[in-house]
Amino acid sequence: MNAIEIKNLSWRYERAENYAIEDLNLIIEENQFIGIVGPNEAGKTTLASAIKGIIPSEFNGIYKGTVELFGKKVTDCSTRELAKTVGMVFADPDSQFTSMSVEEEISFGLENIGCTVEEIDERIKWVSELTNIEELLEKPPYDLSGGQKQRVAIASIIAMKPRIIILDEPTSMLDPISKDMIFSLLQTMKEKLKLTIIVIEHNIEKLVELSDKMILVNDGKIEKYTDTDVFFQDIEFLDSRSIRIPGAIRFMDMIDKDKDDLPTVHLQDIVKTIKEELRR
Amino acid sequence: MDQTVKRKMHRTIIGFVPGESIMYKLHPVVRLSLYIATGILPLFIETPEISMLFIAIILILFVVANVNLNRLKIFTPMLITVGIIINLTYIFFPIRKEEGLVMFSLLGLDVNFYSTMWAFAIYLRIITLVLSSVFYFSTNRERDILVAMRTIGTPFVVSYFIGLALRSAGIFLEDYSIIREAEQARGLDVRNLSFLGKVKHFSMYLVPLFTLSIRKSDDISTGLFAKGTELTGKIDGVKRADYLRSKLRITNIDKAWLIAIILFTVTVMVVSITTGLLTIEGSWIFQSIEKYFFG
Amino acid sequence: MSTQAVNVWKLEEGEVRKPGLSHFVMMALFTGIGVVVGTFGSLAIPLGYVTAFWPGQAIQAVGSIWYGAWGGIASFIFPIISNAISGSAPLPVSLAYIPGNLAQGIIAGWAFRQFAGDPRLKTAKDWALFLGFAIIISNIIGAGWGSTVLRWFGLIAPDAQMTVFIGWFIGNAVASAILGAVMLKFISPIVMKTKTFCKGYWA
Repeated sequence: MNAIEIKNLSWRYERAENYAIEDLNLIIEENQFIGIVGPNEAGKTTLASAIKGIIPSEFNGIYKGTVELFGKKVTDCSTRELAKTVGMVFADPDSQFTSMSVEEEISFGLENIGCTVEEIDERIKWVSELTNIEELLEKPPYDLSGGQKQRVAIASIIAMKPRIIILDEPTSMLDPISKDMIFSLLQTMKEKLKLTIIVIEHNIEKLVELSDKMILVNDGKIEKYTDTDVFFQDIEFLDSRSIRIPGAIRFMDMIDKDKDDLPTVHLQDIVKTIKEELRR
Repeated sequence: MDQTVKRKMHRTIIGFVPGESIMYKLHPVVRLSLYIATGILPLFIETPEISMLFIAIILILFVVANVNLNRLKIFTPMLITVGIIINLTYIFFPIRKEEGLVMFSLLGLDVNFYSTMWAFAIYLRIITLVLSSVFYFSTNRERDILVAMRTIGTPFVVSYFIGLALRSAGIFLEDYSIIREAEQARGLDVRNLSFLGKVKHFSMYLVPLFTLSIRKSDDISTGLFAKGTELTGKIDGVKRADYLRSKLRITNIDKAWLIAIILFTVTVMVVSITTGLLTIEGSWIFQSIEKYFFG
Repeated sequence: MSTQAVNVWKLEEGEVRKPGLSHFVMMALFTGIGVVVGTFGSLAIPLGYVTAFWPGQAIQAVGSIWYGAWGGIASFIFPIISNAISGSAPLPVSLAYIPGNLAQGIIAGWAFRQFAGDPRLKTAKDWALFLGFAIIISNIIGAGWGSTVLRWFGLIAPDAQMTVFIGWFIGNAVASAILGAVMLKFISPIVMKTKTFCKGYWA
């Protein structure tokens, strides 16, 4: 089943001269891990906001086309329905916290979607184990480190058990260790949770390890949407769009472009192949 | 060492609370009723010695509740200036001056007995009220305040608004300290500025602070939308679950405290209204001073 | 100083403005800011409750100019909290102050909308509205109400009310004139571009 189906979507923010996204079409199947990349101001966040329904609900502007989630238009969904279907984690975790403790932060969203106290209790236990934040439940969210904050933000969304989760540059404000922790959490989410995950990230090296498919957004349009392996076949094109190609992928591309059986994306496969080649 | 650990204070958005306190054994609604009672009762008490007893009880509560009394220092200038102003207004604009009870003259100004006594009684009353307010905010975290509000039936939208406002105050203070640190790093020392310079400087802080706040308010409202927030106490016609409240249940001890606080408050109010026991004239301090000066 | 006047409160053709969650959030945020400014004002320059140099009135007036009724609500809620935190007024007195605080807020918002003042203080008329309504009239009413409350509670001698009123008025007006002018002049251009800026009273 299609989780997301976007048809001819265009959006222009109030007072903006140009469309942030224009005549965009996209289909994302259920339970896939999608990586979205693209230069700054390309329209990635606008696209994510349109999927989440933040656009047009929370912004003024011109909206054309449709966005459907599991066959239902986002413009026909209530705020609560949208929250049950799509969860979104933002780049700045601080801006999402409105409660006085981590536990309340998680329970707030669950109260919004109509969970009972017993359900809330169960889900808090489940999600805090999954995201490894059991020790933080009593603490105020604003007193945590950047990485802990982002894990709490992700936990508060996972707890709502949406069918789609969008993470908009979840590591952009984090130090390298915290970045790794978030990617390892994404790995856990991919393995343990049956849901559609969309991650907008500049850290392509980590993203490719997880993504089933990659999308390149540029100038308000989708310029490339393919399986991750295929995505990096035209490196010159990606370079022209200022996409930072991971060193291992570039290296493999330089070794032999025409050899189809060589791994091109996943670091472990690349390392394994090279070791084998060196042994020979 | 143990004492230091015990007295450890935890930061809240609006101040500090003790890490451990006997007050935490009471349900937040009991603490709120205590605050309301101590915020109302002084208004029914004119007798200085009873007000002083009240002040002593609140100070004992501070100690029992494990609050670091050093925190009270920041309120000292306020309490001194309030005292000066009350006394000055009653010296310069005396009440019941027609009775002619002048205690002494100060720089050619008659110091009226009743006016001075009244200023003293009012000052004690204000100290009691201020201390009770400080005590409440020194023994309650923000979440306790919200739980108490919800327990007494405050609509969700109101309690949520208060919570968000307190959180916003925290955000504003965090941004303020970041900007201040940045200025200090560039060598600015506000202590060298004149009074007018300080005011102007404080005003100019607000430009970046507001710009940040506006951006954050957009982010917060988007975040709330993303979490399915609708400002209503009902979800699909059913009362919204209150997880926070469910964690803190009212015990029989809490109920007993509530009854005791209400009964005590009502009793003092009735005594004050129906008898002259709590009036300033009934005070032995009043009577003793009157006797000393006027026989 | 420009003399060209633009009515910023007039809706453009087809313009729809609806109150929403973002207004609620902004009201809470403004209340939070008021709590900080009010508490700092009371604690930093503690002249008691009478001649207080209290910059909180600027937040009240500017809030209702920018955010209409949302700012008006914030204007009477934040002093209750900031007074309780700073200890500058006990709860019963703070509650009694509500009408005065409301007046200190909404008068400015009403005047700017009624007489088409520009919050960016671009013309002499805008300055006149700011000083006349947001500072002088607001503070006359606020100080009048506040000093009456103090008298009711016996916190000042009845005959001292006029002196207290003058002290209160000057203390609040001077602080608010400086802070309010800075806020309106420098921050209004940013605020007016946001979706939470209210051309009407609620949106």
